[in-house]
Amino acid sequence: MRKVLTLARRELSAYFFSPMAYVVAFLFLLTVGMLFLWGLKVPFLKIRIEPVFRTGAESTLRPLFDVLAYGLVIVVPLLTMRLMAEEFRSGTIETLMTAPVTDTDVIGGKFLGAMALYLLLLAATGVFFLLVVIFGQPDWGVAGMGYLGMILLGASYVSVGLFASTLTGHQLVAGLIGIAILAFFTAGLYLLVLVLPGSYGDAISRANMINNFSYFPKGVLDARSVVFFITITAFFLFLSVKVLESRRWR
Amino acid sequence: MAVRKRSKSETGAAAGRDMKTARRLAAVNVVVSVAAAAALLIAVNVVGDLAAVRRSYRWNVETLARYGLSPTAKRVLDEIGQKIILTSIYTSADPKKKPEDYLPRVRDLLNEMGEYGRDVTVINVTTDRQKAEVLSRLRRRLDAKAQDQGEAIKAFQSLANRQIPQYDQIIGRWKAYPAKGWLGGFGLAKAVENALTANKEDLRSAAADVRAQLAGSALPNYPRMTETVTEALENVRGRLEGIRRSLREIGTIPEKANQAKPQLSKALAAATAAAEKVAAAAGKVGAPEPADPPAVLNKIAAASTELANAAADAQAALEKFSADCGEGQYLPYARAWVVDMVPLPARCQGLAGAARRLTEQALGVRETVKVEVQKTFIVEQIRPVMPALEAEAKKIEAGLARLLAELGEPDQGTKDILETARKDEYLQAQSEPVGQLLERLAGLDKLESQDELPDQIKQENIVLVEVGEKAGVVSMDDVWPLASRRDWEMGLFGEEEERRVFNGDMAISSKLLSLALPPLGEVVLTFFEDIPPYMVQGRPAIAGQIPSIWLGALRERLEKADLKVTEWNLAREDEPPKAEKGRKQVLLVLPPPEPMPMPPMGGQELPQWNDQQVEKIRKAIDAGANAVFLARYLRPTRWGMTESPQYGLAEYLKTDWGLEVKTDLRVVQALADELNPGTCKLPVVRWWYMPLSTFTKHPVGEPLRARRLYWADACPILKAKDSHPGVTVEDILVVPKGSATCWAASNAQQLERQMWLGEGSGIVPASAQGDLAPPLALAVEARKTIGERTARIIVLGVGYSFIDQFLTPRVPRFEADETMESDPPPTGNVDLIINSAYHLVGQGDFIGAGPAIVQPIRIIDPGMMAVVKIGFGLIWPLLVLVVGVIIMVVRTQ
Repeated sequence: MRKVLTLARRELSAYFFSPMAYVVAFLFLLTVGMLFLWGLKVPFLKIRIEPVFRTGAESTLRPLFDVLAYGLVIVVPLLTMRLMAEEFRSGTIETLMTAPVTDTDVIGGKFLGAMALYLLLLAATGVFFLLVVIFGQPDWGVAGMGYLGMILLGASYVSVGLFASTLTGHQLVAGLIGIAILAFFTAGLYLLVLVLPGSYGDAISRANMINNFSYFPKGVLDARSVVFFITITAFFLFLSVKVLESRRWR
Repeated sequence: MAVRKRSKSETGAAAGRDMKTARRLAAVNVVVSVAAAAALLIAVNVVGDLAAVRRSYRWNVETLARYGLSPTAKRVLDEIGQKIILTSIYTSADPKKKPEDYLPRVRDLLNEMGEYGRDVTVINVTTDRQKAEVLSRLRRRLDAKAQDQGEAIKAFQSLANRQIPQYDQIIGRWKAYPAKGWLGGFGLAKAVENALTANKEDLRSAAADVRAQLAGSALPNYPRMTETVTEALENVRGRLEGIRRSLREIGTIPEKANQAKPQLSKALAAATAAAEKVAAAAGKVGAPEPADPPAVLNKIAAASTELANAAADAQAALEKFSADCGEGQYLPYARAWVVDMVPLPARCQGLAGAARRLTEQALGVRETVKVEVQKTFIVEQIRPVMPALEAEAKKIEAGLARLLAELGEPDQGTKDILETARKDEYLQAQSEPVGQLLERLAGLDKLESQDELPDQIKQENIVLVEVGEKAGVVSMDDVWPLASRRDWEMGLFGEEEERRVFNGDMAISSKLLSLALPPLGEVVLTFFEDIPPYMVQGRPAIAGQIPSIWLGALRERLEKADLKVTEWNLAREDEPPKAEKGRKQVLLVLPPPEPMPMPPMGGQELPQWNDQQVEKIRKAIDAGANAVFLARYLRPTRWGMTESPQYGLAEYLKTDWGLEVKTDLRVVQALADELNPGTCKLPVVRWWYMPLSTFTKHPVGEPLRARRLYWADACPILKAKDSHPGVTVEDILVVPKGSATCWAASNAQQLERQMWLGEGSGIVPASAQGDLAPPLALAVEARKTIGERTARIIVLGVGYSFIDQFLTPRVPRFEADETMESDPPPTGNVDLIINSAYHLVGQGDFIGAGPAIVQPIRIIDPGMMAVVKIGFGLIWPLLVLVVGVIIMVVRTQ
């Protein structure tokens, strides 16, 4: 575990020593701030999102979380795309492979490093919750569950992004693969449900990450969703390890 | 042991094979392990999705109860052992009812119900195709349940298709009937033609209505179609039977005319003879003066008396003849019955009258004037009118002869019709199937709750609730009622803004409850009324200031809330209706009537409210029933009276329960008058629709705290000063202390007058003697121990707010530009009675949770908002970027 933590620390500092983390964090907070304080209106797409923080609105971050769940489909793969792809591209993977660490350690370390950055980003949204506390009457249970949901959702997104990153040495391609997989597990499954008949639709709907996340911002701790996110995260981490392993014998 | 050494090339090939095998093995290992992991992933999630696991490992950690299911909803879902389908159909295009604003919460709730319930299916309709599927499913269900009705309606359509052409033929024949034909003499030909045309139109219109309903995409309303068809057929049958009966009766006239001819002719001949006798006694015009005028006058008097009698007999004979021929219904319409625009009996009556007057004049002149004058009277006054008298008698006789001749001999065509009618065969082919179909329709089972569904499903933004074979609709006004004015009081919104709160948990639970479970209790409408039948003139109706007949909407809502409603009229019955085993009763006691003045001498004594009635209520409560007392501000009812009549239960509530119901005070809610600080103004709308949702934490009122409810003619309820040991009183609805513009006015009449005269401003709150300032209770519960049980009553001083005239019209509201808008009717009021009833019958667990009261984000002034936006929306992200730039710069240096 020590090795994993060391790798995670290394990964996190790599983020902070590159402009990438700051740019992503800036864009992320700017977008969240815009949604929270100004809302979003795209008339030609008929998109209209009211600002979350407005006089008379519910004292909750729920609408923000709902939008973020979709927004992170793009943000997280951008954060994770370099995790393994950069190692492959620069050849440092060979050094890593010869170091006294297992493939699982490597994937675990990368995952925890990316998760740490994700959690920092999430923590930065705490200022918006602070506003709700000051100007309204938030439901602490709902807020707590919302953040727990964001953590679990983020973990599964990061594991998917990491898996995508293990597949190629091109960061951009890794990012696109990650976005594609996450888009499938969110919007893709949603659209699939619309065309499938009832019982199939229900089953497919259960695999939708957004559906599983939707209970948390309502203040519901649903063990099914917790299990879903943990197993999905574990599965993609397992796949990542297997892909990395395959480099040894390919 | 000899070992053969491999050559270099052999070793390379083996290594290559080994590598290949190793790769293959590794690949197999990866595939198998990934497949196993995937299988494990699916298995774990499938197990987690099993209903039992799902229900057991789900926790709601909300602190404000906004999104989760209430205990009531959970209990309802637990108790319903049938399949439930919940369908949200939120597709309104109205900007005030946009689905994107209102649907998400509804979906959340339905999904929560779906997660919690064992056999709950949730469907969220968003597309027209999905809506069409739902309608088609409902239609199939309605068709299956209304199979008999459907067949009867088909039978009607076939009957209409068959009979409409028949009517065309028959009408054609009647149109061709000669204008001077025998029946035309009675005006009957045209009447029959009109009646048959009306029948044809009724059939055509009902058939078209039914066809439109069955062919359209909307749900067929079988109860209404059955009603339409029944009404049309009843009208058709009524007209057909009328025609058949008329023809049967009229067919007897020729025979009766011939039978009556001798007697009638004799009577009329006697009249003519008497008239001639009078003329002979008077002498002809131009004849010499009578020598003995008194004797002549005597003769005239005797003869004219005879004429009067004969004419009266003739009149009686004619009237009897008319009565014999269809009870006088037909002859007055016969052409020959009228001579020179005057009916024959009237002519006889006129002749008799003239003869009587002549007798009186002759005798009077003979007694009072001199002989010379008598001579002049005979010559100048009597003789000149004699020819007219004779002529009238003859005209009547001739008229009768013509009448009898006409009636006695119909033409051949008419004879054929009358003969068919006599045998009861005329229009039988049309009438009989109509009667049979009506019998079939009358024997159909009543389709429970199906009459409302087709109409309700046409509303915008609804939730369709299906439980087993039953279905109902929850409207948007129930799921999203108007918010209480608490927000406005906080200064957040203008009065013109329509704000709604989510009440879906309560609304959908109630609907499920009413569709699936047997009645939870019985509400006994208790009143003292004596309403005389409509035709009894001069006898006043006795009822209190909330007559039971005004509570139709309330009864309906109580029944929909799964409560049985029965009646107890204290004026007629000594005891309430017997409760069904295991079902508790709650009396809903209406205000008693005020004492009626004693009737004038000889008039029937009116039933009066008295102590005996109070005793009946006391006995029922002592025997185990709880009660809700409806009270209101009692308006002076008699002209010139300024004081409110006494509330007949005031003494009982005071002595037994320690409650003083001040029905002589009206709770008034005004607005601060900006032009005259420290005073108030009375807006007309608030006078009639007083918004007040300041409920206490009492379980009956608490769920209604976030709802916008209106009240009218409310009266306060005080705790009696003298102590009532053992009675506990708890407030439910109050005007809180410190409400500066709300008070209980003792001069409500005067204030109302001022308001109507446009002088409703500059009013000082609670200024009149006897006014009460807040805190005021408008609804309270009192409890005490009777025997071994706790008896409970709830007194609602807002009783007037439950009448139909208050609950059904929309609530007017002035917009900022002074145009008038309206809000949905204040139907939420009824929830106060429903909750009270649940509470008092021991089913308090079924009281819906109501909307959660959550303080929204409070008003933020624009300056502060700008600071917040710049600080948190721009500076905060920039700060992160700046930190990054600094780190990068430091690192590069």
